[in-house]
Amino acid sequence: MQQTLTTIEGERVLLRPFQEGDAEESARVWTPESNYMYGGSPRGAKRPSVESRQRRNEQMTGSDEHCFAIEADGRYIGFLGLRVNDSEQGGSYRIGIENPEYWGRGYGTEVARLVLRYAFETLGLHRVHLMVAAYNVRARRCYEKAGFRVEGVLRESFQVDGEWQDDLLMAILKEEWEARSLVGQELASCPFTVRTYRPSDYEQVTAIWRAEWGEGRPMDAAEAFDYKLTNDRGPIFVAELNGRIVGTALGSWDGRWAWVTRLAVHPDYRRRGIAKVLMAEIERRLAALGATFTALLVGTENKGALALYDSLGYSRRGDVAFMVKRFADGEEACCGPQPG
Amino acid sequence: MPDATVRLRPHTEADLPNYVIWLNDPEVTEFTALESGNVTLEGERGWFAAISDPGCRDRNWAIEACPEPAEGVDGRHIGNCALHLHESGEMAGFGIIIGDKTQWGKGHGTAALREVLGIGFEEMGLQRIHLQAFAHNLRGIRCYEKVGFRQEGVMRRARLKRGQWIDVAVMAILREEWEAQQCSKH
Repeated sequence: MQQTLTTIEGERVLLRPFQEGDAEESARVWTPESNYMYGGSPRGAKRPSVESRQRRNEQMTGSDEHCFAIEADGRYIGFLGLRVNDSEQGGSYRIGIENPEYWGRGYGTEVARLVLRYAFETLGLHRVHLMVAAYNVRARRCYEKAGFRVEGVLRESFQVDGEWQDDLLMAILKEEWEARSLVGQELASCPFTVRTYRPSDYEQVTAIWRAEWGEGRPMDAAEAFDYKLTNDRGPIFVAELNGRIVGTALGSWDGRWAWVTRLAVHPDYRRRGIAKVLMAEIERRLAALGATFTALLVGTENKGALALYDSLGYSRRGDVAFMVKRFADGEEACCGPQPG
Repeated sequence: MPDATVRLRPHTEADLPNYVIWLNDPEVTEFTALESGNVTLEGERGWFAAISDPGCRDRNWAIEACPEPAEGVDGRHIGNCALHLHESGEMAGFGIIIGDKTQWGKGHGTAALREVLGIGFEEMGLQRIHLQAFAHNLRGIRCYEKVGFRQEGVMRRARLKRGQWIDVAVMAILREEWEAQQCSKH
């Protein structure tokens, strides 16, 4: 029996044990669409009785699932459950925002974030997963915003009105959650922002690179850059401070290999955690594209960068040589310590 | 090549000592969620009572290898397998262990799986049969693919096995995929 009487307070929601009146409210706000969201038929569905909701709430409370009623504006709007598997240090998450007035307004995302903090910090879990109907795009988007990633499509897992439907399996690991909350903290304490590259950033971005790696590198040419933007789904992030670009990072993803290149922070803005946040964003995006690991090249004398990558969990491969062959017209400049 | 090298039959009390030996062998449980070393006859008796309960919705079988698939000849008990019925009644999860190591690599697992698929889709009317395999269990995954399972995803670092986090592949075969296979055979 792991039932807890904990309450968790968010900005707009309160997660608390079920109480009197919840079953009535749950039955009152019910709509046929909510049935569909959770894998039932929207057609011919009947409003549940207060008694059946009462039974459900009691059953959840009496089970070994960590369950909470969700309250907003002083009223019950839904419930959530987190079932823990001790041997896997894993949790299985489910949520129902039953009051349609609270759909599409970020409540699900806020609840998911609170639950993840509870799962990883309080319960010490290692992984949280969930299943969501593949057609429930709004729910999927909400889980992705909270940091869950799609791990698989479970084909034809249930039927709605005679049609077989797929379930998505989604999960987030503790280290992914930690990287995300790190990004949140850094952004809150520093005045810089990290955003996706825009074509108008080209001059400022290449200025930082020229300062770091020298002039005239062919991969910095505008055409080469355009080619990357068009043909590679890897992200480019810039860090911006007071309208000025002070840091860059590139990710590259060809469906097999993910690389991080061109991590650079303007010398005046170092030691503020900018590189760390850029790395976290790049890794998150590469992972979302499907990469299961990423690699990078760094000069063996670049002590600062090596320490950063060590702290981020990168390990060194001592058994690999970095080899380069210059084509006939190749330029000397392309063989710097951080190619790409 | 016919693969009628096995026969499925219900478990008996007499099978239980074999399970204690097999499940305590780390080689046998290498690619399973089971941890060897603490499996007791007492525990296996409890398991047997649970699966023998009329309320139990799982289907469990002992696997016998039959050199000559002749009626009435007792085969050699080499492992067990099961379908764990989902509460919807429309899908089930598959699990298997070949515990007799002298019988590895002979296609018995594949043959047992084909039998189970027949029972699951024809007799039980299932829509979907799925299983979980450790992502590094390449031999197992190849066997499942051969029988018609498709990999649907990988649960990252989903299980702790001997101190290591293990990625777990999710695989499934649908009724229509299995039916298409039966048609192309004839």
